Amino acid sequence: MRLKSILDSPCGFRYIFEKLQLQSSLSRHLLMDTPMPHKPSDIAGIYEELREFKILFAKDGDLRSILASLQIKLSNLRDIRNTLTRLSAAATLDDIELFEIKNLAIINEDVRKLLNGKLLSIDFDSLEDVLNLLDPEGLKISSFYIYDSYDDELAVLRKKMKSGSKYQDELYYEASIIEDRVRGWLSRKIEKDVHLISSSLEKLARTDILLSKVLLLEELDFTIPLVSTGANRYNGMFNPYIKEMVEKEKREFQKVSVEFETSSPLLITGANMGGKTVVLKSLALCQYLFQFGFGVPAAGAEISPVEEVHFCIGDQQNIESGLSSFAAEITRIDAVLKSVYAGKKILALIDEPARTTNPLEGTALVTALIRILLDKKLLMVVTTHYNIENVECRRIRVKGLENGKMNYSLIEETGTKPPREALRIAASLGVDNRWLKEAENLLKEKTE
Amino acid sequence: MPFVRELLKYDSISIVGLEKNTGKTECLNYLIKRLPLDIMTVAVSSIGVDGERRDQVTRSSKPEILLRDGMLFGTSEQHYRSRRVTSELLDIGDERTSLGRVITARALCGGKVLLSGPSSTASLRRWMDDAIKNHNADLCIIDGALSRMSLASPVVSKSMILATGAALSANIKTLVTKTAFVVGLVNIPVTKIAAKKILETKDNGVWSIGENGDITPLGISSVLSYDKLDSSTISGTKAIFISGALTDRFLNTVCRESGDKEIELIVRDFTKIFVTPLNYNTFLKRGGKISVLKKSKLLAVCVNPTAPDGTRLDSDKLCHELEKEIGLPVYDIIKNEYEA
Repeated sequence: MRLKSILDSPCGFRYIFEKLQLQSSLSRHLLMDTPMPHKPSDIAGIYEELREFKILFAKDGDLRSILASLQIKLSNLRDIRNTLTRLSAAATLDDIELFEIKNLAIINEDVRKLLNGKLLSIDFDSLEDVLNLLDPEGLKISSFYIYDSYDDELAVLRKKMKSGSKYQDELYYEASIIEDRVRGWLSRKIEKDVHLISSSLEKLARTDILLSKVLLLEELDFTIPLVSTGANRYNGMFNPYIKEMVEKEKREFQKVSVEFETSSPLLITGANMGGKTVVLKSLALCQYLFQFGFGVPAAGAEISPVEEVHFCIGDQQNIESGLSSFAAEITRIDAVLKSVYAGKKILALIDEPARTTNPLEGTALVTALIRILLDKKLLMVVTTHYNIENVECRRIRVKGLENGKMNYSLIEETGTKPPREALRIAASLGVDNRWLKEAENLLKEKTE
Repeated sequence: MPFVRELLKYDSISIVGLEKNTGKTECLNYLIKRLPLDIMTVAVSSIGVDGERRDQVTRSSKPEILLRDGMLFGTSEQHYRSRRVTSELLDIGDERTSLGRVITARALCGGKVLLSGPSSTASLRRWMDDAIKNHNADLCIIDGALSRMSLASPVVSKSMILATGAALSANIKTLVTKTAFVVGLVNIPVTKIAAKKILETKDNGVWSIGENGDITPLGISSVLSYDKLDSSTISGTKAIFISGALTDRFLNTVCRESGDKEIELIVRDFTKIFVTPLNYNTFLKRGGKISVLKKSKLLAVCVNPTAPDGTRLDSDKLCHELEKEIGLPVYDIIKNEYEA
């Protein structure tokens, strides 16, 4: 799975991605094409680089002063991978391609001078030889043509062409044969360094990506998480998009703390409008951000790498593809089971499973799901309104209404009964009183 | 040739042909040949594909663009590769056209090239700004593609040359009428209204300017979608500003509803006028007034009396008739080698 496939996940990954201040479209492409890393060592490696960049480029970091000039250089970076492929295939490059290689060499040398010796994580190679080859007159400017100094014969011909008052096809033809010859040996000389050029291109793009991640940490108040095994712990987790929305309305977003382990599924119950779905969305977002080595929206976090993230939430997409909401949901949860039985390390985040069916069967389906997954080593969080009994799993709930205000914090739940707050919340929304009164009467009859 | 000297007053010029094969490219080559390149830097490009060796539509031969030593040019990757000029590649644009990205280069000695520049007026304007700012161009010459009047917009270039000829019509009288209509549009005067500066900031909508100069929305979002405009709506109106296109329907409505009241219609520039000559002339004859916010200077009209189908008109007669009608000098630059 590549990063681009999760861009439109309902967890809101695109919102974060669009905030990245990537300087070059090459970096953007490379990032989008990155397969999701899942080995703990790979993810730890990315964070090691990010930490170094954060220290150096933070507001009080040693290299903050050169950030702007570095960004300008990186903004000139172009995707010349096709040119490099052609070069390795022994093709003769044309002026446009040689110009692009010269430009890459100039950017590389500039960035190298700015950064080398100051960074441990990225070691820039010298492309000075390539640059000297493409700048034979030492002009240190980015423009390019087949310079007179490449070939004595060419210089003579060019002089002749210049002195003539009229355009002479014959002379131009002669000159173009020599130019082609020059392009041929230039290409072969540069070809020797093609691996160096390729890796420079990749390193420059990586620098761009890391810088944008550091700026994102600052802008959205993210933290660099720790890599853990078998447990996810979040302290002061928030959803950046919803936080922004809430703060626009001059209200405060309430951060939550939550943790869960592979040993036991986590069940979240609680009032309607209590932010259960937001918690799940944030957990999904954090997991994706973590897997791709971004900062995460929390004050502190320890996250365990997984091979697959299953985020099952009611959304429009499946309804559009012709499945009923129940069918779509059940198929998705079935995919979780298939992955678990195939021995994959996964994170499953399931929002109110079986909520569209009758409560009797719904409860049975959810209870059964949790029961069969109890001894499987997966990270799982399920939200529900159903009364899930006779299952040994951790339960937490949203604290709920307090003095007419919603308290979104998550607390341990000891009982199995879901809290009954639906009527109170409905009342706080100011809906028709006759309706709620009738419902209350019905409830009383049942308990009596 | 007087208009070359006149041209030195501007930093940009577009050459617009009223039809294919009206001699645009000859006109461009003519200019290039006569500009004092020893004291100025000239950049040349086109909008979209142009300067093919063979005309893509009619398959008749077309002249190439002749570049002189030191000139800047903008063309697509594909045409840069097939150039016949020694040139230094200066920059590659980010935007992609159907023929690749636009290359900016400097000719190191004389040669020939096919021009295919940026494909939209906005990106063309960006290219021109870049040529002037980063490559020290003093003058940008834009070769227009078939029927692309929009690039003659003063937003793109400050002056223009109109190329017309037998390809537009084989009948001198029709040719003169058709050309005169366009010349008339180009020469629509700039409005004298005091609120001009404010109108320039209005990006959309239709606005009414009252007797005392106050600007209010006319209550219709666009001239393309309105139900009715009765005389009461425009009773206190001195002028109407249309930010988008002026259509026949709107022109007729205003003509009808204004009665004997004199209402000035203001458009952004002449390229926003999409009305038939008949309606336009009727409007003017009834005392209507049209003005623009920005105007480009029409430097000259050039004619090509030969059409690709073999029609050959009397050059002198054509020039004379056209001059008489539009009151501007008309040149047949292929026949007459004017002095600079």
